[in-house]
Amino acid sequence: MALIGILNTARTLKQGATMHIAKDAPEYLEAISYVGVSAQEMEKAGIKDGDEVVVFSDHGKVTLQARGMELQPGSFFMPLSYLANRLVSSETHGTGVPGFKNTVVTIKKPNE
Amino acid sequence: MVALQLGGAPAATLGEVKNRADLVIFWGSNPAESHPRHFTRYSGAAKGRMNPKGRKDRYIVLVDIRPTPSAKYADEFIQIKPGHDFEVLTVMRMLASGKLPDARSVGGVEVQTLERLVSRCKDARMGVLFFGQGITETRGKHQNSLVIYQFGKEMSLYSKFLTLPMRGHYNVVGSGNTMCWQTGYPFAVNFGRGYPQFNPGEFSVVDLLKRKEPDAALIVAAEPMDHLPYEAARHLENIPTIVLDPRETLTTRMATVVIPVKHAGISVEGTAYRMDHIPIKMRAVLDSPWPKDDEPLERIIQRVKELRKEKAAV
Repeated sequence: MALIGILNTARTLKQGATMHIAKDAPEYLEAISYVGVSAQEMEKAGIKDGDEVVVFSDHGKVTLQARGMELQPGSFFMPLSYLANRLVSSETHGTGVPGFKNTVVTIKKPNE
Repeated sequence: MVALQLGGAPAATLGEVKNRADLVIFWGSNPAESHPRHFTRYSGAAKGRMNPKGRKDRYIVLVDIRPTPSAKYADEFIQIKPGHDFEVLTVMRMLASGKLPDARSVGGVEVQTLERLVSRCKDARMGVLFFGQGITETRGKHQNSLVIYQFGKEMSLYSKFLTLPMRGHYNVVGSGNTMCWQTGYPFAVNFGRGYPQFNPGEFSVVDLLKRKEPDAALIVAAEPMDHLPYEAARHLENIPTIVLDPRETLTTRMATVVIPVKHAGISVEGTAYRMDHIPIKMRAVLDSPWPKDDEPLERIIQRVKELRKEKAAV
């Protein structure tokens, strides 16, 4: 079953430390290529830690690994990067700030 | 920034925080990952004039939607529901003025927990609330920051209380400061009519790109292809772009023209602003064959003036 929730994108230490190597360096790609999901929701959707999943929003789609994280149900996490920004809404509500922490996304298995 | 313009802010330097603050609240901020030196230099373990024991002299509270790595450095972690910052802060303002909400919990937090936090704020020798992008980029955006500034001002009736944004990205404060003293506005400034106009949502970069308004772009030391929503940034792939950057980036890779420049603060001296608006003098430590940012920019301006003259003469 598909999971629907709000995507929270944020800096991580690993992403911040590896972004200066190169944006296509294996270290950076490893640091950014996952979506954090709560253990409760992973179980609900039949997803295991490290499984490949498709994450999509009204703005784009990416395929990456699911990773178990301590999150509230309905809340997903991705490190800041061009991958997360494929999904983020460019709506700024008149503030100039896009929806880095306020975009609705759906997560599902690739074959669903 | 918009909230700051609307409400003003009780603020001070990080030196004041280090020397005086005995209550430190991080709200929607994860300094252990986003500002790794903050705890040790200013807000956690740092020893100050009135905090001789460093960490033991401070009570640290973390408010967030998830237990980030910063939670283990805090004395108390308060978990709120995503997107409920405005409600929680508004109830804290109610509690501060002696009113009780008609609910046991708000935004996933027991009202009793908030009462204790408000009491700590009132009783602090100096309290400081640092807020991060968990406040400014979530539902409510600048309204969340505004209610924080209002709460800080109200707490200043009882104690010395500060509200400081955890600004990210190198020298983003310098950009805002320079724009302010040059134009009167901190960002989203349009010079199209020959004088500066300010309007976030209209002249801010994400909104302009989303509406596909620019027909050319000059990008200086910025990485929009990585840092902006692709839905907006992809317009840059369809227009001529000139990029000034010391390194190869996703933006230089798609640029029409790339001008390599010296790395500010490494190969060229100058001034960068700390998050508390303190200008820091930077020395050049490494040599570089490339020009400083302003040299190609001056030459572009000069050439544009010449072309205008030539056009006028025709």
